[in-house]
Amino acid sequence: MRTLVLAVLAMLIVVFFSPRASFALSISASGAWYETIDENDLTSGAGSDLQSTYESVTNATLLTISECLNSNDTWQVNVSYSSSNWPFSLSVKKSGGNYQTITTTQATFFSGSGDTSNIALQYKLEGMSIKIAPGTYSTTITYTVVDT
Amino acid sequence: MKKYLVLVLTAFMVIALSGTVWAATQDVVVTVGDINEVSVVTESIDITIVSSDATAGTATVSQSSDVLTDELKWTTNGTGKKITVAVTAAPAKYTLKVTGSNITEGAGTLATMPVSLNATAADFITSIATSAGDCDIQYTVEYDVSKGTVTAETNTVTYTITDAVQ
Repeated sequence: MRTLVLAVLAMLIVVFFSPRASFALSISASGAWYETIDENDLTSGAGSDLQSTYESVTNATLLTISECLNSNDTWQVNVSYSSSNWPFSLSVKKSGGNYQTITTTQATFFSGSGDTSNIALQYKLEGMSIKIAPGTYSTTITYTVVDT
Repeated sequence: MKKYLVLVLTAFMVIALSGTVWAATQDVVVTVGDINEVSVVTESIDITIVSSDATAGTATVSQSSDVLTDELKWTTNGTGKKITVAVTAAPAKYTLKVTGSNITEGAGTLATMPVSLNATAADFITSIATSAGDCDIQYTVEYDVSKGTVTAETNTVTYTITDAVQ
């Protein structure tokens, strides 16, 4: 019995002092995207539909990954959104990258290593039309960082 | 006891061997405002009646503008809308009428044409809902010679998109 207890304690020590156990890894996001659609967004005034696609500024969101163990500590950022009332298609990209459609399922977005601050993200909204009823539509995008 | 120790050990092993996950969230908020736009393409239309337009023995003289193709345009993201038409002041010596035609399919229903123009707004297109459309327009002047001569007059015609039920 004593041997077993010692074995468990030894394993716990290994776990907590292992480089893998980087419990301090952190991700934070700042900014948001607020878009207002009105008659100025008609493609050619009365008689025309709304433009279907809208883009945020290139730094609508700034992501920061911090508290990595060192510059070689690798991580992966996943993205998803949640909403019960979201009639649009939403995409996101890093500066210089390609848009990736966000879904309600977590999907790999990008990866990197070490502390990285102010990763600029831009959004694209598609599917706007006059068939969309007036009102406010919101969604919450979740970015998760996984220590890899 | 052994069983619990094994479970604890397994749990910590899982933690150690899997990546830790941390999350941050961001909001995207889109506000769609009420959109009710109506416009005409041509700013000014002249209709002139001259003596040669009259028929001997008939007191009424009628003259129409050309049919203005796709002249009236509208867009709304609302439902239960209509377009009314009115003139600033009804002319005293003649009747001014407007005829709509060739409306975009599914963009509304033309009222019974022609519509006589008065200071009080009259329905021109009804049953408009979340649509963008247009129609042709033609104006007609009906003049009775018994009213005497008419110098040039300007009539301002106003189209308004509004709730069908107010």
